[in-house]
Amino acid sequence: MVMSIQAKKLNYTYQIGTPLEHVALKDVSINIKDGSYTAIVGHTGSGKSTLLQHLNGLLKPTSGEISINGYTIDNTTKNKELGKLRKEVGFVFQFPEAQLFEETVLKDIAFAPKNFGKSEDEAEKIAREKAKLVALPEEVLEKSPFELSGGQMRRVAIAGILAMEPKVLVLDEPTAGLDPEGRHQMMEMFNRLHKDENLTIILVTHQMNDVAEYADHVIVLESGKVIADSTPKELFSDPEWLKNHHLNLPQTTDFAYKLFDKLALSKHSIPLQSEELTDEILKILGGNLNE
Amino acid sequence: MSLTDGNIIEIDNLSFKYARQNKYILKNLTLNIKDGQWIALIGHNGSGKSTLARLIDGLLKAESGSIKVDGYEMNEKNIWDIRKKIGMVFQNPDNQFVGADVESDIAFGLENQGVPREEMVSRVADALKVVGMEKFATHEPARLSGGQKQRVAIAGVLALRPKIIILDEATSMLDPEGRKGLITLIKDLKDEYKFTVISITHDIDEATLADRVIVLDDGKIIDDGKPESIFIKNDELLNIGLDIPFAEKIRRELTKKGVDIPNKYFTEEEMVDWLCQFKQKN
Repeated sequence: MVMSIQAKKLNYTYQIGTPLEHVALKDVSINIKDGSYTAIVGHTGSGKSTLLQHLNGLLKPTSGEISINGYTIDNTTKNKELGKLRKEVGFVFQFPEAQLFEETVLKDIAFAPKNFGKSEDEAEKIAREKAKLVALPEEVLEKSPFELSGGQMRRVAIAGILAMEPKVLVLDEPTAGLDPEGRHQMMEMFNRLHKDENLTIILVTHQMNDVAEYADHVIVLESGKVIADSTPKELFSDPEWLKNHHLNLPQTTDFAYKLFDKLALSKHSIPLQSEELTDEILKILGGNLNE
Repeated sequence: MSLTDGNIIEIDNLSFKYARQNKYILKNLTLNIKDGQWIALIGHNGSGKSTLARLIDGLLKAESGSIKVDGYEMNEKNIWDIRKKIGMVFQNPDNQFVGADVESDIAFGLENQGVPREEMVSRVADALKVVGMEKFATHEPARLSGGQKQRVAIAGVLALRPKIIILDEATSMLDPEGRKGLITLIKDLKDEYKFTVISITHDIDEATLADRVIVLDDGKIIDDGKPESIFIKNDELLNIGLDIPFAEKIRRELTKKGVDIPNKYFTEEEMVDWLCQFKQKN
């Protein structure tokens, strides 16, 4: 079985047949490969959230279909058939810590596996593993989740999602509200889960810096349509196009282009990570450094 | 009322901790804020920024010390007058809607202050226009996107014409364009209406636009000054979990790689210029 997410001519219209009818997705065809790190970007109202809600059957296509790791959903799919799919795809919405409720961190993380039929002991074992994966220190496991800092609460919520052992992790602006340090640690943690646990990551973000730093695939939505589907390098190689669509460059690429322009150099390289940028600057400054 | 030394806010020796907790969130904090300035208040989560904002608005009560806003001492008698002077915008706008549609949500605060209907109608329309939400006047707030909600929340505050606007990470849920738009908008409005802005933010690039940056760590002010003097001390900022402006990061990395860049604060444009001159000289 091919593990991937494929949408074919997916259309979704809200409130069909009413005066408020609104087409949110138009002929969306995408392919997200197993093990990829895909960023979905687009402005408010571009259809990102609607698309996300198709990934675990919260919404069903008005027409067309979407298949997720072999489960195909179209407008005839019954809700009963969605149970298994919902274990495949873990969702981290904005402010996931709002969903914490148990007395202790450990119980909160163990809730989902218990709910899916694991014994108390098994569920606890899974919970301990997942707590470790998200770098929660041992000493917080018996504490109430509500005594923790915002960043730690979010880790608990994420561990709870990982405890369902999903193959795909969907992240909807997962670092909103964290401070820079917390944001950096959280993004590094997702990257580690992607690499070490081979999780497919789908990241919805406005942060082009994160797209440049982490993603290997990027999809741009505008007014419910896919207007770009490529690699970050390709996407950021056309600043003119980005500007026309009111999208930003990552700071690294933006800085490089400013420097190229000022020195009348062609846009011959597209640095994404800051290491790449400083290497490029050194190359431009040439062998003059040691004089 | 004339202000002492032009200070719209005077905070003297302020301490605060939550009941049943030993740790002070703010400890002996003294701070004056000049009327009409744009203040960026930065610090990691838990450093006391939001607590300070809530104390200034009287949402929390200090354990000791005093707060004066626009010449009024914060106490039970003055608290309502003080609140009229302050507009707060929080990070998550879902927590601040009351109206059934966007218009009536904005009108709510004005009704409370007894603004005559005619003026209310025009203030609501104006506020919606400046935040670019006039087309959504009759929409239900719950059905708006995050960014749109935040614009409405800001319109609600603007309509009240406060003397001080406190933005508590108000732009953190907006996309970069929305964020830039909003900051530009508030800057323009500030120039027109001469209010004071206290922006609690993690967006270091936004903080570089402020007149004055105040750095809080563990309930204490550890740095206070113009952006260019704050952001050159990059190690200190990184040590307390904050970010440094992008050009500073690049300057640092290039220094590490052996490029002889002066140890001063550069904006991105200045950095590009410096690199070009360096290349041409050598």
